[in-house]
Amino acid sequence: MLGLPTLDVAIGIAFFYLVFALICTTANEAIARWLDKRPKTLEEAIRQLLGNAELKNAVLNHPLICNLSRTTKKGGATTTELPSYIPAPAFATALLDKLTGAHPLTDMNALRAGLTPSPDGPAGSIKLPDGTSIEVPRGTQIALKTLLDKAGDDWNTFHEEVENWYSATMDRASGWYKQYIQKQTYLLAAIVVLWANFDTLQVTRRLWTDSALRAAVVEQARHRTEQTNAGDLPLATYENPEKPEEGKPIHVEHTGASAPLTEQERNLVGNVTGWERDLQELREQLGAATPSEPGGNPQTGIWVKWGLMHLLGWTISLLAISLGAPFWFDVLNRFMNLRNAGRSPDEKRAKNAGAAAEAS
Amino acid sequence: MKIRAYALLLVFTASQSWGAPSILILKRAWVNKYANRATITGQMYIDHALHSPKTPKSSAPANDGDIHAAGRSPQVGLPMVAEVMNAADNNKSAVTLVDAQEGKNNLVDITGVWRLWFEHPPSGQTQTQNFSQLAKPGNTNPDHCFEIHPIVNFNQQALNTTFHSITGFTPKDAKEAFSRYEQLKLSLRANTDAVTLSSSMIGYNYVLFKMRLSSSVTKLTANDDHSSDGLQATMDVYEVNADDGEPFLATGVRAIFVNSTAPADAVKNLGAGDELVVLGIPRLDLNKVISYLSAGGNIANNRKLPYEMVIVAVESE
Repeated sequence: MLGLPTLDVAIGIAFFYLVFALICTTANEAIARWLDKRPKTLEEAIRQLLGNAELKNAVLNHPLICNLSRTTKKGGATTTELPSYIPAPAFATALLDKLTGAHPLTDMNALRAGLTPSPDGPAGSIKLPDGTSIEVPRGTQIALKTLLDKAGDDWNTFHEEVENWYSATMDRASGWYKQYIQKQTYLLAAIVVLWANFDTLQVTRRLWTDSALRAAVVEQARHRTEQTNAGDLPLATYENPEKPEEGKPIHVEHTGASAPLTEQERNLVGNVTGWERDLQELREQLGAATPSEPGGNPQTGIWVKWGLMHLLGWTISLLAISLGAPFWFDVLNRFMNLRNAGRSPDEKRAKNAGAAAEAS
Repeated sequence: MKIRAYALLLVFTASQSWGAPSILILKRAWVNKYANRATITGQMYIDHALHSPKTPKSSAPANDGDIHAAGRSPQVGLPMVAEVMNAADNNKSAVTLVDAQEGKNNLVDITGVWRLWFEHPPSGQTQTQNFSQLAKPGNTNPDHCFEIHPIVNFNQQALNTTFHSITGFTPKDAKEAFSRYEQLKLSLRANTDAVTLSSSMIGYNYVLFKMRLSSSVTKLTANDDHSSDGLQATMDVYEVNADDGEPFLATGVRAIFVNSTAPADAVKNLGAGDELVVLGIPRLDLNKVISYLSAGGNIANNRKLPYEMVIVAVESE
């Protein structure tokens, strides 16, 4: 059976994983935002969907899409940021508008004409209202024509088919973005672990041997679980929010256990991790080392042991941090619940007495 | 070394996502629509179906006699299953009915009790309601928090007569089940579009208990179109053989009865203080969720999970 100190050590470890995962999450989001990763992934997915950059630009420059973009002023210059999300209906309408050119949007003949492969070359083209032509790759024409045939002569059905075509690509784009974020998380976790010398084995040992530190960490863990539990849940916005059984989520926020770190938490991290104490201990061990046999170098063994143990501790930390803040938040909650359920009778009495005193 | 072994064990244990709370994101307008409805009526693709019910027998009294099918419904927008109660009735005609639609990619008309319950949740994962893209399940029992259970009508065939006790089945003990329900926690966060719910896995379907009505029986009136597909009453819950004076297991729990079923017929003329021994299945009480949201509470942290009991059989009066 787990004793309370063991459980407290587990709480402490989960707490530090959460804190470091939070640091990585914050950095991850900041980097992705700085690099415009989400809009760029979206743009690349649309380019792949439509087959070339010209057609992609034509659709993205359609007013229905442009209006989703944010315009910012930097140093007097106005820049338009790519949107992070384009609703499927807006995309489908913008694309069909481009395909029908100067004809009405719902003109099926114009649509068929716009999707008829050119006999002269590998690609056909569509004419824009201003008279310029845009190349439509053969593959895109065939894909759209297949959807058009599937829809019969029903414009609404065709529009829906184009929406689905786009949505399927967006699902893939979402997968690319997640893969990118996961890779970046590993990289950031490695940097953070080494920078802070966050070695799980070492931290476990410190928590095990220092009861005051353990109590302080458990207290901070309690604060964090009480303060951020529900606030940590993701929220979504929906298309047609007033219609109960229609549409899809436009945006689901992934906040993670995102409350910023408090000063006490930062102090605890500084207290438990870092290089100074570790190197001091290493110097002491090296200084006290005596050769076990003539000519032997006892320091080599110490170095090897130090390196291997750290490597193991860092690897555990890295893998654990990459599981993410929400995961560790859940684990921490579970440990805290277990601790509250298994509180000793004396502790319960003390708490009840405290509560009674507060009530009176 | 002992400490390190402990640490490794704990890290390994913690790394498994056992029973981590699951997150469910629902459209707020949908929550409002179903908060005061007993059932949901819509259409469903039957992607995978069990081909025979697990019939209760003396060697397997936990078999509940249900048959379930996994699929997709444009009115639900969540991973889901639909279940027929007492599926062996009428020479398994319901089984034939459901199986005939398996993998046909037909939208089949369906009406049944909607049931949100963290019974088969994706541990530590999020499911988001999406009516435009319905993910096809890979087997008959995908991770899900939504069920249509029991089915009342399937492909124009009435199944309301399946709402009766399950012969040979050993239901869950009331004391154990309600003590679990009462300890369940729910965290909630909402905005104008969506409601996010988080809780941990809980099973305990089909619990047998004595209900004592603490209110009159009234029509369940839908929030949007004021239609009514059932009855409701508030009850105190007791063990089946509880004597007068014994403490209740739970109080103030809403009981739901589906129109044109035996339980609804049995309760419709009863009033406060009357008792019935019934078989019930729990589900999230969306009416309490909506009431909380309407009162301006957009965030709730580890509150008691609001639940209600759908009464699916009357054992004795």
